[in-house]
Amino acid sequence: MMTAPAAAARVGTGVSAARAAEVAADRSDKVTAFVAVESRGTKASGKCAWQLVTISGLAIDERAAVAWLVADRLMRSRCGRAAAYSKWRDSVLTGLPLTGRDRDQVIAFTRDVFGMPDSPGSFDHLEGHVGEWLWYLLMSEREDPDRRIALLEPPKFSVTEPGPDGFVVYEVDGQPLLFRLWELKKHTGASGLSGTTREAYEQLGEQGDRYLAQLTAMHADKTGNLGQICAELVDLWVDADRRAGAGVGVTSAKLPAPARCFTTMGKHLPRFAEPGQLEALLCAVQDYHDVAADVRRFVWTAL
Amino acid sequence: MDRALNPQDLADALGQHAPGVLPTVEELTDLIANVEIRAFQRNFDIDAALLRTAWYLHGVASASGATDLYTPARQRRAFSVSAHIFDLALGDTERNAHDLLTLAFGAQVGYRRADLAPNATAIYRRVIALLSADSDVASHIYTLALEAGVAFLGLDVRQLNRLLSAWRRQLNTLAGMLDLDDLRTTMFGPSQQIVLAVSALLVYLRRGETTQLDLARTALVSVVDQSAGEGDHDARWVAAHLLAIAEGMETSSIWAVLPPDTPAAVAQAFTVGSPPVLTLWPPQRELLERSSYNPLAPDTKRLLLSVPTSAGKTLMAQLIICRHLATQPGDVCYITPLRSLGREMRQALTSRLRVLNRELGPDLPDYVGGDLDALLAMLAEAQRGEVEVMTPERLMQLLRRDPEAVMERFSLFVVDEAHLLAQPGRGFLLEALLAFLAASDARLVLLSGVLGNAASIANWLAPDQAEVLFTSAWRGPRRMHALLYADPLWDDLVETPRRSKEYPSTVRVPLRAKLRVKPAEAKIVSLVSDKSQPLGELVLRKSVSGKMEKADGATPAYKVAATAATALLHAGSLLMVVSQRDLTRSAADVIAGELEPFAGSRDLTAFLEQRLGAAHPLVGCVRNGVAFHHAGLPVDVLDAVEEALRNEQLRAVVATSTLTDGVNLPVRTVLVAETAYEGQQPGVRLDAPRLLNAVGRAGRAGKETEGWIVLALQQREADADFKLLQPDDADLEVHSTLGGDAAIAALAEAEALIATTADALFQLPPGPAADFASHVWFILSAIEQLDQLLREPNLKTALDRFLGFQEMDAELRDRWYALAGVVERTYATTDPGRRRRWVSTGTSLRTAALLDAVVDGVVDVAVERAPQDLTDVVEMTLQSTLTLLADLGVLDALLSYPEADGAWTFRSRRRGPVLQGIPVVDALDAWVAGAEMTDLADRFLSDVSDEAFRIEQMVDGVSRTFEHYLAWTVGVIVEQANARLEGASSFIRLRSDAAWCIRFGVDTPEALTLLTRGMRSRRLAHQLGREAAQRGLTVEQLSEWLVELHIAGWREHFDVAPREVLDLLELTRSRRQSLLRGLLEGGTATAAVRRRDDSPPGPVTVVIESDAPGSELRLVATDRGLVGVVAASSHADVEAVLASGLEVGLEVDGEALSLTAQDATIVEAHSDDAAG
Repeated sequence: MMTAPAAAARVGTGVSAARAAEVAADRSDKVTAFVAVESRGTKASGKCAWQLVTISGLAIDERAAVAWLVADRLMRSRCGRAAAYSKWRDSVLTGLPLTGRDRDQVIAFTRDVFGMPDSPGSFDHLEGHVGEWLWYLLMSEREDPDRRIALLEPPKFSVTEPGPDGFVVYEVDGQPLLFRLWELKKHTGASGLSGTTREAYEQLGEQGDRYLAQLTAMHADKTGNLGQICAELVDLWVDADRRAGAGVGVTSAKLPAPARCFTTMGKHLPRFAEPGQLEALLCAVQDYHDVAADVRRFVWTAL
Repeated sequence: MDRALNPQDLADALGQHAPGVLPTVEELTDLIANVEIRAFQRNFDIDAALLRTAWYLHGVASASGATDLYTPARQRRAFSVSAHIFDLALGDTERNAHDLLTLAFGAQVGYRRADLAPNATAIYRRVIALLSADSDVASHIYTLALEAGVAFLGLDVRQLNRLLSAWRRQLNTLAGMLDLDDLRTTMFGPSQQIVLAVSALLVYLRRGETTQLDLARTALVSVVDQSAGEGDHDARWVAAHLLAIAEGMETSSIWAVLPPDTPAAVAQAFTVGSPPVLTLWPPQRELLERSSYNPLAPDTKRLLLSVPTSAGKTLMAQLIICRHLATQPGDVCYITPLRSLGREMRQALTSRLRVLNRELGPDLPDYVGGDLDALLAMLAEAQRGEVEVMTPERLMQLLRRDPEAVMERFSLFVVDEAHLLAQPGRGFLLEALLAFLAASDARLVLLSGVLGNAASIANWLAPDQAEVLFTSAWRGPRRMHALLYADPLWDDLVETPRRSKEYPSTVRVPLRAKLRVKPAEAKIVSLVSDKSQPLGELVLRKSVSGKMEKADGATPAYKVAATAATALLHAGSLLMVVSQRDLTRSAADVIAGELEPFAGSRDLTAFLEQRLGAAHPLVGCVRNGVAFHHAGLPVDVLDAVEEALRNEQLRAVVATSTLTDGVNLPVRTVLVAETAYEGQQPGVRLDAPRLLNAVGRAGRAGKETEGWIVLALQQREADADFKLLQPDDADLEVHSTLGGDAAIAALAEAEALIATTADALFQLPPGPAADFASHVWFILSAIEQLDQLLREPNLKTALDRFLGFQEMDAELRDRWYALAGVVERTYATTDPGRRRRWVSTGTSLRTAALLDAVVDGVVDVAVERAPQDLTDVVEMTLQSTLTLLADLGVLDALLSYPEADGAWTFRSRRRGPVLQGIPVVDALDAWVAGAEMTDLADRFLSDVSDEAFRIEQMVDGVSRTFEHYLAWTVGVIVEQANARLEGASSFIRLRSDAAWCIRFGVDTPEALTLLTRGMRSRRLAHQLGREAAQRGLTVEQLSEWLVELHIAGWREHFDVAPREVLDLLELTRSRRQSLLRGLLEGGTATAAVRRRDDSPPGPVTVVIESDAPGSELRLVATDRGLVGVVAASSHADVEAVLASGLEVGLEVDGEALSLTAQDATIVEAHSDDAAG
């Protein structure tokens, strides 16, 4: 983990929020407009079919635009209808820092994740949180010809507490609904990805029941087919029913991305043997640190 | 077996899966059992597979509305088993706060939704330290929703109100800072809505306002559907479960189950009284929702509730009592043979009755003979209560004196522990009482533990009305059974020669403890104590042939058990049950010897030092947190020990299994270490019902989720021994003592006597036949007086109402009828005055007749000694009365009667000879003059060299002789003598309250009044009595003077201990002016204030600060500091308001403190915002 002063030293691309927002708007405010997507692996028994999403080779203001989209969405989620959101947005877009009460209002929503410029929060946690938001934006923007999202959980607002990282229910024409429980990790060190992915598999094995049990209660209000599958989550999971599946998402700073990844997922989660039950997403982000730092910089610019 | 590890339950909960997916029933049983066993050894590790299974089960159970997938029964079992596992996982306190709160909430939800609500409260107590009201909400926003959920399901109203109030305030401040009316849609919104929902649910439960339930639902739905804000997964999980629980509350709250015509105050007596009860347990609900023979319906005249210990029977009784009082004319009499239970009931009813503006009657001791009316007249009318709590003996005493008054006064009798009618000895009196009450039109509700023949007892109570019986097998805490053996280490034996040809050597074998634990039906695990530290030794003599026999010098079994008991204390309080009074002290000594001084018992130690003297063996034990408890200790000491155990100021108590005087309180662990001994009375043997009662104490509902029951056995280990802990129906059948061997033998003896002796009735030895004859005498007298009140009044029908007469065959019945006939004939030929007098003594007829003769002598001498010039009635002084009795040798004569049962007998050492000539008259003089126990012991038992034994014997002697036996018999003599003096137109009278002075050990009417009004400290009563005499004050004026003096003054003048302060607060309290009632009815109430002289005038808002119960309630204003203190007359009532958890605004104006109820308004305002 990075020490606080080193983390504070990360300043990102230096592109202004206004410019980043402008670039993002030019691409319809979609993260997917800045990424390249490749399908890897095979939909076979015990194998993981995965997607490689690469955010690289972008111009500096394009990378800043990705950070802006994350920061903006994240702030909207945290602030809700509070005026703090628009105050923050206006402030960072105009470059005029907030003062007094307005500043305090923004701090109330950001301190726990980002800390303050003079006492930053854990950069490690921040990178993880940015990774979760990237995954969420990618999933929500993703257009899959084979299935449509019926339910996608937004990321947790907490950066430290455990809980389900990602949960998606899909509709597939002519078939019952199916779900995927995702474990999301970030990978920033020099070591290979296998340690990170193994941790994710293990966590799914150990905590999957817990997350799904909690999701069962959380979605007990759902009706129809969605209600039906949400009521059965734990049974489908322990029985590795074809409607259940596991996903692992890794946001990595490693480029070029490895050609092979998630190869041992089937070994770690052997019960999910139906083709397509195991899926993954590797999001390889060039200068991942800078993207995370940019997200934080955009938040802090208002302070 | 009352455990979650029932294989069928586990199988149902798990459902069907492919092999290897989930643990099998056997594997799961093993996994759970292993954790349970480790918990015995203070190791709380839990296997990951077990925890995963728990979450799976939680998921299955959480699928609300998925009835096509999972049956409600499966979901309930899944909740129950998952809760059990989460509960075990919670033992590992190394986990982080979020994890612990998650497990706690998961366990609480599981228990609550599996109808095991008390366990949810117990779980809350385990994580209470993680609930933060002081730190800013933003700093724990990640866990706030979990904290609110855990706190709510704890239903600890006072703490919950404190937390909710702080959280609401902080969240409102945050919203204000963000220029928002509320925090919905923001990251803080879900937590805020949960806090608001919980606040509204609490108001709903306390006040029954269904609008609050709707507000709570709206708030919770907004969290689940994320309109309150997104990203807070924990809040959504919590909200989803609270939503389901809120639905259930609509049917489980007190408001929901009370009939609609019930005055609101009845529900409030529970929801606001102390301790608050907000929801009912399943058997309580089931009972109160009965469509016929509903216990709350006034036309339900007879009812028998047979439920296990810890099923909430006492609360059922309270509900029945409170509703009856609020809706029906007449008073209520609660009867229990268990004195400890009576004390419990008094405590529980006190605050509930205050909400109803009713009072409990004075706590008068049993067996004080004489003129009760005179005493009651002495207690001002204001001291009378609408509910009396008493033993069957006291009720019988009242009935014998004036049956008409009793039956006219009480319209409901609740008889608790009714199964004790089968107890040899006292059981007959209870049976007789029930047969008598059953003949009246009063309502009669019997409460009982598990009865093997409940239906036939119900049929006895109300023939052909099967529905009078209500049974339930439900109980909250699980119970773990274990057997404790002394395990000889044969490999380490030491053989030494001895001087005997037949047995030439002694073999000493070290003993260790072996605990055989049964965590699941098919699993028994053995745990042993450290081999290198034996707990004692087995001593044997070895014959020439090598045969070994037990020899002297072995470590007694109680010692091994007591030493082993210390290893179980880590889990919580322990009750050790032994067979003899002496062993309670010895075992307590052993346990205390293993422990360090215990800070929690400091107050109790101080009280006991003052009450019993520092040398009394109890004091030394209590210093280390261990007490012993037996009938030889004074009642106030027993009361203090029980209170300390209840308040966790003791770690262990050793008691005898004598139900009547035993400890009725629940504890974490019960260790039954009984040994049968030679000469043991049948009534004190550890039979199945008694064992069940003892083990029923294990596991405190609401405090812990599991109780441990350990049965120590002095025999070779065997799996079958576990069956002892699970008696079957046949073992638990209740039958009249009249059909028992002892009664039949006594009857035969009586028949033989009658055949050969003219006045056989007066020669009957003490026992069942004499008791029967005495009771027949009472029936005959009652029939004379009560022909209007009893149905079909004649002796035969009265006898036929006995359970025994219904159970026995015709031949035996005829023999008892014949004995009754002898009594009837004697009664008919006895002078009417004597008939009545012999009834009221409460003794055998033989003793009644003897007393009559004594009274003749007393009357003669009283007349002889009376001044000749009297023109009006004059009472002799106490001293003259006692001198007169002493001069006639009355006290010595009384001590020779069989009823004295060896009272006033002392020994020079524990197994030494009986000391002769200890002057009872002088000792009694010193006792009423106020001498302390140590003084009495030093003065009268100087021949006893062991100081501890000296004081212990004196305490026992005073308790048995003065406080019980002489108080009773002298009372009878004084009353009868005075009646005869009046009849003889003499003006002289014996001191009418002499018996009460003997009972309490005081000599002034003022001190006596104080003690009969509930003051427990004789020392203080003496001191105040003298003060009153000096100042020429009546007790009422003394009370006013004490109010002026206030707590600080009491400390200064009388050096009062904390316990004595509580007594004085109760004494000086304004009765029938319940602040709680006022607050609930009108929203405001006023208390008296002692304002500081230098406090500026004008109204000021204050808060109350206090250090400990009984210390000053300081009224502090933010800007002015200390404004004053709550006056003594209002102190107890203000404390009751604080204990209720009602949120009140406080304002001091002049000498008045205004209290204004606030909680409902706050919640409504915020929830309206939320809903808008």
